[in-house]
Amino acid sequence: MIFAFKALFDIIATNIKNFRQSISMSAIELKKTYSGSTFGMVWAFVKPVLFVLVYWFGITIGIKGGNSGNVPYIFSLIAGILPWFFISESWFRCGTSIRRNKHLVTKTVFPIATIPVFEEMHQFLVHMILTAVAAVIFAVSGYMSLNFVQIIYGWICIFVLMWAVSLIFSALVVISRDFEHMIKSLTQVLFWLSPILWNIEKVKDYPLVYTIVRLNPVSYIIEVYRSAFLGGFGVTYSWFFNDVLGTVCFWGEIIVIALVGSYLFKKLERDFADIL
Amino acid sequence: MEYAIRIKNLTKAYKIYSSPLKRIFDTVFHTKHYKAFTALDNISIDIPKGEVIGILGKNGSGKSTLLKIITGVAKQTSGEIETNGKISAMLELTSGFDPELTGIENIYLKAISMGIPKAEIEKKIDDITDFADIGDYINRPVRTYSSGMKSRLGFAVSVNVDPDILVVDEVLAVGDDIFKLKCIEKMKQFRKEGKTILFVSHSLFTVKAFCTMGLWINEGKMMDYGELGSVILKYEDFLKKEKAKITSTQTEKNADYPIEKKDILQIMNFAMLGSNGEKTTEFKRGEDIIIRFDYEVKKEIDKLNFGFTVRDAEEKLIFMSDKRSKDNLINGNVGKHSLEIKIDSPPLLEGTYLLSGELWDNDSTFFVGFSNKRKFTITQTDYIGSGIISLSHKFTNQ
Repeated sequence: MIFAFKALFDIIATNIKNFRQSISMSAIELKKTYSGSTFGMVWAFVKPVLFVLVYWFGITIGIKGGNSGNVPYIFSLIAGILPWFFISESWFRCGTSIRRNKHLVTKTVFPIATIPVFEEMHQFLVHMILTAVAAVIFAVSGYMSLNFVQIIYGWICIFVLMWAVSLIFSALVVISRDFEHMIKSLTQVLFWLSPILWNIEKVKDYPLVYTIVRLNPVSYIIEVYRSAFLGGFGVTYSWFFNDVLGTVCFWGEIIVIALVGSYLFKKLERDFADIL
Repeated sequence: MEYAIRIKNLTKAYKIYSSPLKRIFDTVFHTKHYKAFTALDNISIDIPKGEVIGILGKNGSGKSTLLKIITGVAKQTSGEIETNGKISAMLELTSGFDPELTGIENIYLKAISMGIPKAEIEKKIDDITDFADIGDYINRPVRTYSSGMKSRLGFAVSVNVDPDILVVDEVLAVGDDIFKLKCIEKMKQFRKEGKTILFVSHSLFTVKAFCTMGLWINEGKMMDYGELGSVILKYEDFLKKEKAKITSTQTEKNADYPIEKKDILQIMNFAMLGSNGEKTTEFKRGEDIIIRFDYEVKKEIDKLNFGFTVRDAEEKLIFMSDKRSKDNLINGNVGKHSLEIKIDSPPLLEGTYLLSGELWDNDSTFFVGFSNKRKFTITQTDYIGSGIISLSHKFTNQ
């Protein structure tokens, strides 16, 4: 337990110390991701737009479902799927970051604890731009209110959550690629267990399911994003702090995940260079 | 004495797991489900500042593990290590390059991953591109590079970070001769500046030419450490025994001299001459043997040296001249020169012999052979004994 706390502080200290290096690394990572293609960064926007359109088409026209409450389904969908794009992408990319950057571990003296962070940072930049684009769409359609300032809180939540999760998975994926496959499979499960395509109110009649969904930290983040985008237009919570229990649970879970992650990470870090 | 690196009772044991999941189980429950493999066993050495240490040993003897621990990439299992100064590691030159990024972008990528601030790289970027010397390719994606170009780029970054201790792991094997010379030149400069260099190479030639001290590791144990000459002797002896164990037909590696590296040095008009000055490959016993050839230096070589080797018909070594000898320095200025080597009345007995020889840069791996196991024969008219050489002897009888 004490080791876990020490490990956590150690990892945070390493990241603060090497923050400038992380920024440079993530800038290059961003270049890497989109170099060698003519349209470059455009792809970062094409994919989410296509997904939104396809889901919207499938749900409202195909299954004739979706609408609940007084906000058109497409807006509820965008607010929910926006954080999901970041979560699914960064879960995989940060989770496999150390294995993919093995030359940094085995050939150079590199602060390993910063690898998942710089991988997350450049994706987060894309996420922030996407959020801004979404905000413009909402504003033009007349769905913009003061509640939008909560997006800052939402950003903090989503960044910290994915960082904590990446501690666990980046270390485990080094040990065995089984965990890489596990991330891929679990992503699908998590997608449907989170209230992205559907509204959380819909499962209120099933207490057990409702509790599980509420305990899912991804649900909490999606609710925060919905409060930010649609808080003034009748969603469950207009402000995140209206949901006291959810907020407490979320941060409690973050602390547990971060401690477990730091423990595993620090214990296994010594072996990284030997395994890779 | 000031030390660059001090290593005390260093041991490294790898944990070999039959299944990766057992490692996680061990981590969580503090159990031990692995077999330990000892890669380094209780090594203690002090490396003084300013020395060039050649690390010798067979594949898998633990050389790379030692370098990795010194650079801090891997952690030791037990023991202490203390390093004094900034280390630049060249464990693999081209690792970490992204094929889609341009040369310049990759310089930044590599330098940043080595922990150099961006402002400092900007100052050095001209030096680095000059050193790499790959012309317009610097602005093209690295995937279009040849492997030699990639190595040049990697080497250029690694040496331009101004390290105190340079760790070089078998990286000179790539690249052409001219680039190799350039690398050696740069390392010579480091040596002059009093920097410490650790050097792993399978080419004994390079090690002999370049290093001042030797460290020989075998199966994780330190066999010898100290002045290069004595370490090399023991190591060569060991290699010979090892080779004899495997096969007796294999020829010694040093004999396979590559032929002519025309851009730097070219050898022409080789001839062996008898005592009467006529071209021949047949000599009478005791007759002087003269080896003569012209050579053209196209790129100045600081310390050009010659060496020669005589073997018997079964390729057993009879004599190899001291390749580091300062007495055998010859003219290395640009231009045409000729060289005559006279072997004074050799004590060789009747039989066929093989002559090998080469010119080489005393500071590097670069060499050009002037003869590769060329046959010559010794004839005799009177029988004085059998064997390879005659031992002149006197006796007193009472």
